[in-house]
Amino acid sequence: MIDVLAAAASVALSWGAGVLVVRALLRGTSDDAPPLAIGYGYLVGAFATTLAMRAMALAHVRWNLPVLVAILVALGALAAWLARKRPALPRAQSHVKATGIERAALAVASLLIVVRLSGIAADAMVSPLRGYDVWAHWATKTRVWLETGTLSPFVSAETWLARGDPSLYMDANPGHPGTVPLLQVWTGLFLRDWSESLIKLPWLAMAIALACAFYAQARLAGATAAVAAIATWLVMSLPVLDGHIASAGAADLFLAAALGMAAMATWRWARTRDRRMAMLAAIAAAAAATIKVEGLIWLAALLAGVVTAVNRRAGYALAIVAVAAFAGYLIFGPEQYPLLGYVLLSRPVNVTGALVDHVFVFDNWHLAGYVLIALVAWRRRALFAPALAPATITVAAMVGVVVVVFYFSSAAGGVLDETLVNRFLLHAAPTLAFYALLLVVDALAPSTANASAPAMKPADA
Amino acid sequence: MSSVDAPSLSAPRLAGWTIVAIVAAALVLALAGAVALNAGAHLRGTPQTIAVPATAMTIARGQGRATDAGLWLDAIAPGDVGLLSAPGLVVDGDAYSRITWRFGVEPPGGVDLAMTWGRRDRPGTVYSAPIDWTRGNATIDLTRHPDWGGAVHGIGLAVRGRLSAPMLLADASLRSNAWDATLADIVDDWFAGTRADGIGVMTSMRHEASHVAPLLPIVAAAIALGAAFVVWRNRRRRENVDAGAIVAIVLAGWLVLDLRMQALLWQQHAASWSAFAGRTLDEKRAAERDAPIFSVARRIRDAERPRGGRVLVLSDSSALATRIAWFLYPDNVWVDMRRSTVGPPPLLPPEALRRGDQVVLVLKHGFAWDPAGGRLVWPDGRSREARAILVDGPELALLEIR
Repeated sequence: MIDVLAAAASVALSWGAGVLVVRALLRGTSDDAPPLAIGYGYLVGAFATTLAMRAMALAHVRWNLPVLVAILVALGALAAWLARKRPALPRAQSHVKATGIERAALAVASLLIVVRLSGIAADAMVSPLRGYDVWAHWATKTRVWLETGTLSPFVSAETWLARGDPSLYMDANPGHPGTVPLLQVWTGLFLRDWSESLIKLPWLAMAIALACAFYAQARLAGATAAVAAIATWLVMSLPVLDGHIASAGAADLFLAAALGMAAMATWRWARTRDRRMAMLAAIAAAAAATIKVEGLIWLAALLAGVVTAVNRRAGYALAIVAVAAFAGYLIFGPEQYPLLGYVLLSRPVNVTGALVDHVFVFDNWHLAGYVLIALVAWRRRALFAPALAPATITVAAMVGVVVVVFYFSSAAGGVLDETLVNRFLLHAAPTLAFYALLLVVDALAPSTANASAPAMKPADA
Repeated sequence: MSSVDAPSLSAPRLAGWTIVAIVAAALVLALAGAVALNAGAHLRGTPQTIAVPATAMTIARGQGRATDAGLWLDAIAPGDVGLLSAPGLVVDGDAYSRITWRFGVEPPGGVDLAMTWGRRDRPGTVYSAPIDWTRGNATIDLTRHPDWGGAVHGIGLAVRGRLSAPMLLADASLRSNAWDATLADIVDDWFAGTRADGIGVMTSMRHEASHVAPLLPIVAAAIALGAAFVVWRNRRRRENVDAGAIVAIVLAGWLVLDLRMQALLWQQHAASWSAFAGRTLDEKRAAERDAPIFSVARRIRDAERPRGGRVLVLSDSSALATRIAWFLYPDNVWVDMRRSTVGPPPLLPPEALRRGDQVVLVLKHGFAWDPAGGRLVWPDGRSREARAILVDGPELALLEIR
């Protein structure tokens, strides 16, 4: 029991510091809302925790729990002090009273989320680490770093043999970034013994954080409490997402959450032009980049949305250039070209069958594939309106990433043998879900969307 | 929240019970369509299942034996195919087209399974179809296979690839494709657990490939039917389309899928609790599906050996070596993950080993421990002086390089 409390304390400490940082950042803005701070707070706090651990390792100081706790407490205290210096905006009261059916929908959606996460938590907190990637790619680093108290280097099998240096370690994927194993180490530092169950707690925390952030951003985008809650339930009910919470240990859930939070904050900034929301987006994006190599690929898609938000024509031009460049590669490029851990191919591999099966036949994503296509078809005339264009370009770029990675890269094998197809789509799932919500909210509240659309530059008019 | 609230989601004009009725009727229609697409000509299957006990089967190819528990297939000659068949069985292929091969001991990973059969009306020809199998019982639906039908005889299970461990075939069954059996199979599939280890549903719904009719397309079809009905009804009455009702139908469909998923997940949560709650880490690992691997790894881990050195785990199976290595961390473990663009990676050179390195040999062909000479011998005859820490037959050795 003491270990359970200790593990909870490790998560709570990061989370608390992160909440204070987010509140300090957004205090005095119209976006200062508790669910938003809670949602983004865990990502920010967890990221800060890993940065502190990296800094200690860089300084050749063995990780020390009191020092790390002191750093987080100091960070939280500093954030709280900064927040106090800024006056809070008075809360705007909603003028729309929820109907009975809306209250019922809110209650049912919340209950479904709680039931789902409770079951998954009960499972994850008793079972050992499961799934090949979990124990072959990620927890290997956790196990070693927890033992050595620092970022002991992991190298390839060839380098390990050639160098013969006993301080070098190897595993099935030495190239993975350290953020996720560091979070497990952080929780592990609080425990008396190695526990494969309790080091999964950050995954549960991230799931709750994602739900809070999604709900909060949905409300900021103009959704009613009921619509926001239902949309949050739809996201949190996605079977593959739940699977990654339950079989905690791989980085895909963290990347999905960080990328989703970065996209939601970016799109919010595109509407309000509040620099502090842009900072929050940048922090989430930085976290995504350090979670998995694929984070950089996805962030390129997000960047296209940022350019579109700044200048729509520039965004469209960028999209056209990207498509033309890839077409040029297909025509003139080498058959194979290594890029960010993948090998780009100039001839496509047909993975349509596997893709269709996993999105439209097997219940990996419930109805998400069908609903997204239906919504895009329904709202096709509004996709490139000023309020939606940055999000649309981001999503179009993400679809482009999926097409390139699945059809034109060495990852096609992972799609066909089904080890990659859902994992890769998971990274984009929260972002795509929020885009679907924006399509609905924009349709329901055109006046809101127009009101919050950014002032366009002459080129955009 | 400080945002401007949007107008509330326009409530459906249809009454709640009407929407529920539309969804229910659409689901029934979609399910009926699925049954019609997957069933044969008969309404009732009598009997619904034809059981083929192992006593009715023989080992046509490969080495094995018959026991009370079923047929053991112990080995297959390299490059050959193992074949377990029921030569005396004759069935109406048009009425019985879903076949399940039930294992007492599953085939090891890395083998491919296929179904073989003959037809009375085409003597001398043996037909085959690959079985999409990764674990559990092997099932195949041949309802739409062009060569399945008429009087089928001599069904068999072909096993291709390297059989690294014996497998036990308990029995086979041929399921009727009559409408009543098809309906029962469709619904049973939806709620059947996927794997005994409690992780299947949590990682992917891949197992639905073996379903007669997966639930998702049926719900999607039901939603399309329900939405089409609402649109048709509105147009007939010259009303605006009731978008709220369509949204409600979509959410109801999503809820159906989610409640099914909740049911499957809670089955797995219960299995996890039963297997792991209140146990130590070693007890949990011993309760996993690959407990035999852990028992080997535990012997290596707990052996009286110097700590803090390097441990090289060598096995013909990369998956086995990787799993054993995981149980040995935080030791400095090495598994052969070297990449080679042409064929397998080269042999581990003897000079790469250092004094004090520990070498684990698990099901590693070619390498041998020479107890008389006290040497680890490479397949090409090279050797290094070593000390045995743990030796258990030719399959398992833990040696320390001197």
